[in-house]
This record gives sequence, structure tokens and C-alpha cells, in this order.
Amino acid sequence: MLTIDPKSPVPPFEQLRLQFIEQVRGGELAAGAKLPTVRRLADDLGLAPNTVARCYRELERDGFIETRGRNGSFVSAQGDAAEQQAQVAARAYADRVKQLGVSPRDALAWVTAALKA
Amino acid sequence: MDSLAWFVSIFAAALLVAFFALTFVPFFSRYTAYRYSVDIHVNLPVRLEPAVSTRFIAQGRGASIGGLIFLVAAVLAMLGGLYAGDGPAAALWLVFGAVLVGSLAGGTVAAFTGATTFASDRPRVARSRAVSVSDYLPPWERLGAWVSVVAAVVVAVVMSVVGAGAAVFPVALFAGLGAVTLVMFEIASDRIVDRSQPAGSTADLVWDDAMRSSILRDLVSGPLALGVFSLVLGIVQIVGLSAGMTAAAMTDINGALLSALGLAVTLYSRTGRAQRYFISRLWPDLRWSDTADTATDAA
Repeated sequence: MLTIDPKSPVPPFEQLRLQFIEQVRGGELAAGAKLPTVRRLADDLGLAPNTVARCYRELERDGFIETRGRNGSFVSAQGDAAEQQAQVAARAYADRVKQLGVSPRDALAWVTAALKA
Repeated sequence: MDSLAWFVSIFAAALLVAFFALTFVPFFSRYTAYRYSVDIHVNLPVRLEPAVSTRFIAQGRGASIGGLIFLVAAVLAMLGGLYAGDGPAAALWLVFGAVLVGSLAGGTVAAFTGATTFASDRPRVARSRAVSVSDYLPPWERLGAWVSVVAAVVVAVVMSVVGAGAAVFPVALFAGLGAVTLVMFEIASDRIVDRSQPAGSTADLVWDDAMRSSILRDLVSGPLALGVFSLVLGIVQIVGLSAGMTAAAMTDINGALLSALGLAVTLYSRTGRAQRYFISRLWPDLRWSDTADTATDAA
């Protein structure tokens, strides 16, 4: 969830950037997750599109997100090569679990069991 | 138009007018909003109740007005000789199809009305990841609509080719209407999900998601119902004609099958799993207290 407080002394652009970084680092935004379009996020948060576009550009420059042409912006895998591979695999597993309609609790339990095996 | 067609048309019009009138009763709209809150296990804060009720009212009015307009158009078509179907049953199918499609069209238009405005000095919240139609609608409902409509069109074409005569009319009618409403759904659903969601709190966002999910499920039910009806009618006609059944016997079987299917669909649509699908996708960790406005609600 992103929150923008217009009364905060921190500029909206910086509020947005810091929250994205926190969510990527904290795993709330997993590698491969698609971000909202610039226009959509600007409308939702009552910001100017340029503010959101600048935020996305800086996040991309810092390696947190990547832009795939017209497909939009996606969260990049973080960490070393092994961690990046693991995050991509986790994304694929999560997508498949959602397709199958399996509950997150069951999916997590199976992963935990598989890791312990 | 014969007396039966008139009776069914007037009965359908009376139902739609009664439903339209019901949307002006404050208790009904509040009951609908809180009933939905209980069904999806999401608290409806007092401050949000008017906004949620208003959206239910808009949907109800849009559906009833749309149904009435299409019903009048169908009656005028029959009176003006634009349609002269085979027997009273054909007129009934036309009335039923018109009301269903009209309700969907009206509901679709209503889904795009109204906009939330926020004071510029209020904090705003938004989701940090993109959403799609599949986050709001169970995949089996969308897939079911596609499969049933495509199968219905195939059955209608096969019946036309083998020369099933007048029996092909309701099958082709529902298959055609199913295809039209399916296209309507696909276009409208993308537009609905692409609309911005101005929200000042988690509760605002959860309830906007809830309304979107409700509207999308209503929209997809149109092509799904029309496709299934067409398919049932077509299969009964094909089996009945090859087995030498009488028209009355086939009508009885159609009535029984469609009633059973209608009941099953109604029961399914009320199940928590289908109604709460969007929560499992968008708010898997949602607790009752996340949307509660404790101080206001207590007051």
C-alpha cells in the first residue's frame, strides 16, 4: 500500500520513492510484480503524472524496477545472482498457485515442507 | 402478439418497475450494502455506507431501466411485425432475452457513472502493484462464459446447417445475444478495472474493490447465462428431434433443466468463495478491523 500525505514536509515524489524501495526490500513487492501505470498511479494518488514518472525513472536507475517497453514497469530481482534466480522462481510459483486457486497458506506450507525435505 | 406474450411482457415490466421503485426505499439500499458486507466478511464502516448504497442503487436503477427499454423495444418489434417468430414460446424467449441483455447494458452504463472526489489536503492511499480483471473475477466464471457462448454458437450453426427449422430460433437468439454480451463484458471489464481508485483509507480501497468485483460478476453472468441457456435448448432440441419427442415434452424438459440450472447458479453465486475471491487475490491478509472505523461506528 502506498500513502501520500500532502501535509508532510517530505515532497510527494520522495514519499513515493521511499515507500516503493521499502516494499521491494521488505518483499511486499516481489520480483516480477507489475507496477501500476504512471497515469493510473498519478490519478489514484492525486499527483501530477510527471511526479510519478520521475519516481519510476529514479527507481529504474537504482535497479529496483525495470521497464519492459509497452508492457509496463516491473519489480527487478534484488541481491546476488542466486538470490535473483530464487526470486524469479518464487514469482513463477506464486503465479501458478494463483492460477490453480490454491490458498496462500497451503502454498506456503508446501514450500516449507519441500525446503525441509 | 398473443395473450401469453402480452402477459409475460407485462409481468416482466411490472417486476422491473417494482425493482426500480425499490431502489428509492432507503432501507432496501442499506440492507443490500450490509448484506453484501456480511457475505464477503468485510466490515462496512458507517461513513462508507452511503457511498456503497449509492453504487448499489445506481446498479439497480441502471439494470431496471435498461431491462425496461429493451423490453419495450422487443414488444414494439413484435407489434410492428419486425419479428414474427414461430409460436408463443418464441415470443417468450425474445422477451426474456431482451430483459436480460437490457439489464446488463443498463448495469454496464451505471458502472461508469459517479466519481469519487477527495479534498486535495487529505492523505491518499493506492495499491503499489497493477491489477487486472482476473484479480476481481474467478477464472472459472470468465472461462465458463467463453466456453458456453462458443459452444452455443457452434450448436446454433450446426442446427441451422442441418435444417432444424423454427427450433433453431431460441438457440440462435441466445447464442447471438450471448456473443454480444460477451464482447460487451470484455470491453467494459477492462475499462472498469482501468479506472482510477481515489481512496483516503484502506477501507475506501477495499470497498471500491468489492464493488468492482460485484459489478464484474454481474456483467459476466449475462453471457454465461445466455450461453448455457442456448446450449441446453440446442441439446434438448437435437436429442428431442432425433428421439421423436413432441414439442410439449421438449418444452417441459427445457423448463425443468433451465430451472435447475438457474437454481444452481443462484446458489453458487451466493457462496462465500465466489464472492470473496477478490479478497483472496487482493487482500489475503485482510482482517475485520482493517476496514473498521471503530470510533465512528461506536458513536
